[in-house]
Amino acid sequence: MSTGSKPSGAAPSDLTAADVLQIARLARLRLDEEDVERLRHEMAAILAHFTALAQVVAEGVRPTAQVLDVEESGRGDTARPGLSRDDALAAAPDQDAGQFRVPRVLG
Amino acid sequence: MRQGLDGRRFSSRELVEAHLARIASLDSDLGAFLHVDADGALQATDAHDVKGPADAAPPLAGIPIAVKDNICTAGQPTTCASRLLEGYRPPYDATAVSRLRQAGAILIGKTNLDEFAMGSSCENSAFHATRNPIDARRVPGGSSGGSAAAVAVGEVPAALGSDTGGSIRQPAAFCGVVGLKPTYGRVSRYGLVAFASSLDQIGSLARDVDDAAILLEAIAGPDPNDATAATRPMPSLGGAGTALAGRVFGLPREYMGADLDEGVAGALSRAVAAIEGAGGTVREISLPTTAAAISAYYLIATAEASSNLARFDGVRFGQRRGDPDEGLLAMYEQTRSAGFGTEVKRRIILGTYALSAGYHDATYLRAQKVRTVIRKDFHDAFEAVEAIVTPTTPTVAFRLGDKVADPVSMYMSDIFTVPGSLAGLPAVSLPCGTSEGLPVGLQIIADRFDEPRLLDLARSVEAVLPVRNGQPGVNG
Repeated sequence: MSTGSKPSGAAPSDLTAADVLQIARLARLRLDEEDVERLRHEMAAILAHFTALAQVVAEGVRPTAQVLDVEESGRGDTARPGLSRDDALAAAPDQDAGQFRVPRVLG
Repeated sequence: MRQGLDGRRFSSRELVEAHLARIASLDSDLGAFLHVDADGALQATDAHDVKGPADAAPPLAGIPIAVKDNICTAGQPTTCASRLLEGYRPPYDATAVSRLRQAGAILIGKTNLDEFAMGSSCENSAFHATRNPIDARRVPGGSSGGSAAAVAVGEVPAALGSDTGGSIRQPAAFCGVVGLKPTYGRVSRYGLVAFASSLDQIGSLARDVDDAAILLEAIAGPDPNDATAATRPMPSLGGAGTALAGRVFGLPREYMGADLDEGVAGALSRAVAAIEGAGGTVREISLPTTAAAISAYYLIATAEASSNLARFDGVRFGQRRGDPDEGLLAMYEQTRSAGFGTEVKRRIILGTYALSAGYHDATYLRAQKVRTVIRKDFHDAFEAVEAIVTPTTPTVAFRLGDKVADPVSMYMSDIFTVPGSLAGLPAVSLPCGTSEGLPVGLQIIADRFDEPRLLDLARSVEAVLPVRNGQPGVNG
């Protein structure tokens, strides 16, 4: 997580501004100092509320990733029509020669 | 309306014009709609009106329906109530939308929501808040607040919403209409802008159970475009509602505790008395893991949301920001930071935290295990009862601004709807009475894929409840 090693399951009240900034970086969000402080408090309050999770007996319980219990949802590998290039580019903020154009990756 | 159209008392054009007029007169105050497509709607009425005398027109043919603005409508705005998608017009229809078109429904406009369906009040819309139709100082609920309000005042007879943790049922309860969430997998999510992929479902809002069922039946069923859509077909949801005598309901004791407002508890007790008066049995049951459900939900839903919202980066669509000279990462950060509102950012941060190394096991994984236990709670309950009844919400509609600064308090308004979502169960909220003059909702939950039973019971319960939400139709 942050530069020091944090034990897993550290108490939410230990969340530092640096932690919040690191999470924001992972999420590609830019936060100002005020946002960081507010979020740090809000996260602490929200996570403190989640202690009810720890009370549930869940030894040997398999996690549920999805409730549909679908085993096999593949199909044969046959081509089907998709979005046309024009349709795909229709909402593009910037395009060039039939491609989405974006700023360079720097550094 | 079907009878009026089929009996040629009025045309679809006249019906839609009347609804457009109602929207024009009410919506500047109510704020249910983000976009009204008058031209498209009127044009679509011609296809209905040009046909000869209808023998058996499909139930929705010629009828105006509204669609929540996180469901893609080709060529029409789909903003998810976010600045990031302001002006965005998808190149395709959601499956639910194309099925409505095939059924001859007239798509009249897109309704307001909390941004990216994250919220319980419609206050998180980037554009405006919708007001509660009964008391304009209060919220309509969320995130499908626009759809609920529009139906409640008769701007449309029915609307599509989406429900992840209660976003159809809670606004239905707050606005005094019927809100129906199907079993997870009944309705294709193709074209529903994803919030939490293991929880999201499109459903219906209407003034009575029959209409909500008709709308659901029109959009449900397998879809090759959605690998999470169930492959079994939706059975017919019609019927008159069988007698309540001998039917067995469960009322979980964990839902009747300290969190429940007294007035809501009173309305619920009167509803239970009405069910018992008609010969039904309502027995106390236990869903022991209820207290942990809201925590499990907010960890799972925000984790999934943090992943789903990663696609909003300004590359292919949306309001891109950032000076190109500052590079790609700056574009991502500035696009997202300028485009997302406070609640969305909060949930992305929470979800990213839950999934990050070192925290994942104690949070997200733990929540998924709790989810399994919650599913088992319901499974065990359904061995003893046919359906579960609960209050839909712990309070009546709260005032605008009351909970905006307190996220935990806002999240708590979902405590009764979230468990059913985690278990993927079908559930409906019906208006069952009032408290302080505001509507109270009764939630009925059935076992997975048991929509026929759910709707049968819902019809029967609706018939004996002390209040019927009988808003006069536009044409009487």
